[in-house]
Amino acid sequence: MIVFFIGLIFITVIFGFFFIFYNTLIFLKNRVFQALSNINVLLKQRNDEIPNLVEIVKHYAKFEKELLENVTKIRSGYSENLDVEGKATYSSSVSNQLKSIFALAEKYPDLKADKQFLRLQERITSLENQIADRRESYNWCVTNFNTRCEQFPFVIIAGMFNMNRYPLFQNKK
Amino acid sequence: MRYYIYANTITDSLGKSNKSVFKDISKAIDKDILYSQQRFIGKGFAKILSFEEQELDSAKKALNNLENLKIKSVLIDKFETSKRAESIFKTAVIEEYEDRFRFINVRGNDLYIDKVNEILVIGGIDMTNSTADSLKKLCLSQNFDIYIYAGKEKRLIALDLRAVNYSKIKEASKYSKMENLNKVIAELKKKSMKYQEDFLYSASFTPDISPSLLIYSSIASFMFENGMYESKYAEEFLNPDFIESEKNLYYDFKYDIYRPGEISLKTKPVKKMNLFNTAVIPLIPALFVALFVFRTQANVLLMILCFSLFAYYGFHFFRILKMKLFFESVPFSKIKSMSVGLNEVSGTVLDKNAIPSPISGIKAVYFKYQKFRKEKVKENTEEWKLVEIGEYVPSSFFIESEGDTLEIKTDNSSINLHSSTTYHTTYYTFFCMEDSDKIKYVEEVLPVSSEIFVIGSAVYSDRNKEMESFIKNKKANREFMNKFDEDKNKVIDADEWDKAKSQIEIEFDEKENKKRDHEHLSIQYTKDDNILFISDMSEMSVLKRFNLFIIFSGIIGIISFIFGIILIWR
Repeated sequence: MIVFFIGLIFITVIFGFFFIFYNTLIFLKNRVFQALSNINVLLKQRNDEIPNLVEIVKHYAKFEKELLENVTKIRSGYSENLDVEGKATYSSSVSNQLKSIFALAEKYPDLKADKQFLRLQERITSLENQIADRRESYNWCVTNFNTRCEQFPFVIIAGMFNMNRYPLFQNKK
Repeated sequence: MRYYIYANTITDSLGKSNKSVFKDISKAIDKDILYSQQRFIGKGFAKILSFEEQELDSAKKALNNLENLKIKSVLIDKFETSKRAESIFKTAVIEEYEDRFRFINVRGNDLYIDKVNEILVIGGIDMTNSTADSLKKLCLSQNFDIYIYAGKEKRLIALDLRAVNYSKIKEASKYSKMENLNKVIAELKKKSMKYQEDFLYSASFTPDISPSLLIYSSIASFMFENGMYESKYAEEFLNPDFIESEKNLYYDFKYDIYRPGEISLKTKPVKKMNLFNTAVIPLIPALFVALFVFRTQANVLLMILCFSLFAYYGFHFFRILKMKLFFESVPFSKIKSMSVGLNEVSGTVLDKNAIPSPISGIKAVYFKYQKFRKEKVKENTEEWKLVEIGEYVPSSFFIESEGDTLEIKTDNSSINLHSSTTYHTTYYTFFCMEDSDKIKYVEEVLPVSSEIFVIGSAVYSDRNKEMESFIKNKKANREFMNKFDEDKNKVIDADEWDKAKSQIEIEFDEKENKKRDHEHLSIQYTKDDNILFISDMSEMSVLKRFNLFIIFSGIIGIISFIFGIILIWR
């Protein structure tokens, strides 16, 4: 009877720990997904602005066809189904191309003075900044999850439920 | 010449008389009284009736009806014409007497007021000492002139911080700034002694005046005479925007200094026993030892106690552990890149919706005070007893970080402040006129400009609600609405309203479009995430507290369990 009683308490305590640690891991895992989908939203918004930008630039900078085609080509490569690494690569290439487009404004004063262009430049820059912040947030969530998965006693639960590490969202140069 | 009648309620229980009294008054005077609950109801004045000289009969009728409602009227003339101001506190009947009004006082001290003066009627006050004090408190709290006459018809007035001339104070005192106001008052106390003496020996000395009010008034009087105080009450009290027509019997109060109606009071709460109370914690091991020594008699009892403690601390151990892991798992977000859902943000508290705490005078978006009064429990034994808890929590406040602002809605929030301070006197003297040795206030405050961190759900603001309140505000803006009064009949008819509404909607859309993404979000409590934690401590400090608690409850839990097992084996 006594052994049963002690055993019961012991199981309750173990179950309590298991419950909390398992839920924490699930919470962290979902935070990773949420952080990634938050980035997706912004990537999509930025993607939607690119055709407008290309259209305006085309009007002023007719000789930059190659650059504009390149941006359009990269843009069309975006898909929600890309993995984290694919999204990171996509995001960096778009950012680089956009920087080149914005640099054109120095070469074409009329473009620099266009209100629509300025508005888009401001909007895209703001989106880029937000993407950077959310990337930071995503990486924080991933690091937190990965660290937990390797820490004791989380490592036992992570092993039991096949919880794998997630990759970081890193800027590709 | 027009005359105005004002009404006022004094009540400690907001909502009780507020809701009904003005309806009754409205009935009695047969006029609509326009008021908004937040501004008007509670402790305040409202212009309820204005009349020309020839309308005196109807005014008298209205006053008599008010008398029937047993709202005892107190009449105060607006200028210094009264020779016997102390008699104004109870006047029952108003009569026309040659070129003056005569207020027949039940004590036989009639009061005469020249017809050229405006009349102020304050209802809801009777002549017991305590409520006379309430009147004075009220006059002070509303920054309204209090007419106490000292010798040579010297008027002693209330101190209005807005009207204080600091450069003049500097000449009279070595202190000059707001934060040194207590010191300034101490300095001025000395300088205003002459006025106190004048007052005490004056023919119109009112015996029931409290000492603090006396000092307060004397200081004010001293400051007034020496140019340290700029009195602009007469213009301020009558808000000219609202006297245009008789339909606007509404006074917009200036609550810049203190808004007592917003502090919610809970008197004498049930005292809950807190096992983590520092006074109880040292008793636990003592109880263990005592029960262990007498284990033969108390074996079973001790065992039950051990397992109860184990269950109790075990439960809290898991609860706090869960919370700690949760706090560690919520990522920190910058305000500008915040997304919908659970977020942890930090920032500096802005002063929107902040009011000064009446206890410390600190401008804060949240404060909570506990009022203790020293009471005799036995002969020669006195104890501090909790008599009141007051709290100010606005529906929302704002924080700022890196130039971005964010609204925090406080419903269901858990506000955790790192420390509390004890005061024996209050910053606003009218707030507590009791003996400072017998009273203490323990206050927790979340001041403007303090750094806080918040964990809660970011939610898009309700566009419809915002639109509604925008329309309401625009509708109340007479200047704006007058633009649409095309036929200039001072009434906005349906067609005019349609035009006004579409203009308001355009303005609202423009305003919304100018907002940046994060400005559409606010942090609040949601049922899904079930948390809104606000603290002026850093996250690290909060986690440290959690750790301490976890260790403490873990140790107590394990010890209780081991003791329980030992007792079972024996």
